[in-house]
Amino acid sequence: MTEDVFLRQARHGDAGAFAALVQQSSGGLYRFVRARLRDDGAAADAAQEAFLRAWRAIASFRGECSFRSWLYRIAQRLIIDERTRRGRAPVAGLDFDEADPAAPEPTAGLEAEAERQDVRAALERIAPDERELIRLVYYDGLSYKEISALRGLPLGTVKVRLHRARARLRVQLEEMWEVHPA
Amino acid sequence: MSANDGRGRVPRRQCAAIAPLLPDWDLGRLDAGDADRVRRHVAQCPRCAAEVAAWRRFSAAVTAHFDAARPEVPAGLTGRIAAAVRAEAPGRGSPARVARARVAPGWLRWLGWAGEWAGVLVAAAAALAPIIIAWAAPVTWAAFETRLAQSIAVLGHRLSGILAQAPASLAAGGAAAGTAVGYAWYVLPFILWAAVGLAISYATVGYATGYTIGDESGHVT
Repeated sequence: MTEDVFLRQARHGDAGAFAALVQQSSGGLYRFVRARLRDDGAAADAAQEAFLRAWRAIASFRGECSFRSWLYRIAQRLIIDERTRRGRAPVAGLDFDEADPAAPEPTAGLEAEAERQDVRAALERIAPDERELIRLVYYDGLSYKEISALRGLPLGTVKVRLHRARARLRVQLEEMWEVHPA
Repeated sequence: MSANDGRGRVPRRQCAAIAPLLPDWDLGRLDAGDADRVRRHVAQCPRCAAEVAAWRRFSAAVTAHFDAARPEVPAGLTGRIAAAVRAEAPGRGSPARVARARVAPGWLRWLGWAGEWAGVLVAAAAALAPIIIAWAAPVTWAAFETRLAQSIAVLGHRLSGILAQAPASLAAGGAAAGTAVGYAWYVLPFILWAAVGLAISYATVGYATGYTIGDESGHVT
């Protein structure tokens, strides 16, 4: 069954249909939160809370954006609250350190690891907002429409900012590749 | 239309329009129309073909970086969340409450409907009765007004005996204060009666079933 069917049934109070939506979205949502809180336990708790809030409010979801954008927007609010609670600056802000000590150990070769380090360094050289846009596309795999709904920006603005962010990141990356050619 | 300028070169202004689309084209994020436009341009333009190659390397590097940073989802997380959703205590208006309402007995909803509309119909009939009675006889306008006032006085007197909530002025309204004001006084209790009946009906049956009475789809509004 499609997401639309599950959503319709969930809006009529079908917990099983909502559980199917959980099944579809929990991995992505957990990664979205985990990348921004950098804490496994807090990320799992926030993901669960986001789904519970979505479940309580599902009757008010009118499908003006995708379920994923709606869910991620709820999670984004929880991330901001959690980061504020921890005393870290809220959003510009949703960005996370590229050098995450808890990130999985690299399993590929040295060359691939060197390239990843170049990307990490290049990402640190662009503005946090731009880094976040890059991350929403390449890490979270959101569509531009979803990013537009999530960030509350017009679609055209998202495209322009992303184009700019990509161009800046590419300049940084190509400078590094000149220094460390593959 | 050919993209070439006739000497085998593609004008730079075309490249300027296509360039912002190249990374999204490479990622398959363009709609069919734009994707086709880019594909045709790139096929004829070595400069943009080189740009596509550069963007491809960029995307591969960035994607590899984020792929490596993507954490494992904790085992059992999905089941834990689904269980929490199912265990969520139902509150009024929550989806769980609506789910319960879906199995509420149909007769209760029909009873609510019947009570609600019977009240409205009786109130409407009582409100219209003096007009119908006055209209029934062949009369002039002046005679109609007189007869309407009489009907209001008689019906109002009888109904005020039946309806405890009817004001005392109902019986004498038509004769004492002129037809329009008298009719307004006469009809007001019925409007109030219907409105209060509707509200009680909504509150009681709607609360018992979780349905709003007028909504057959079962949505709580």
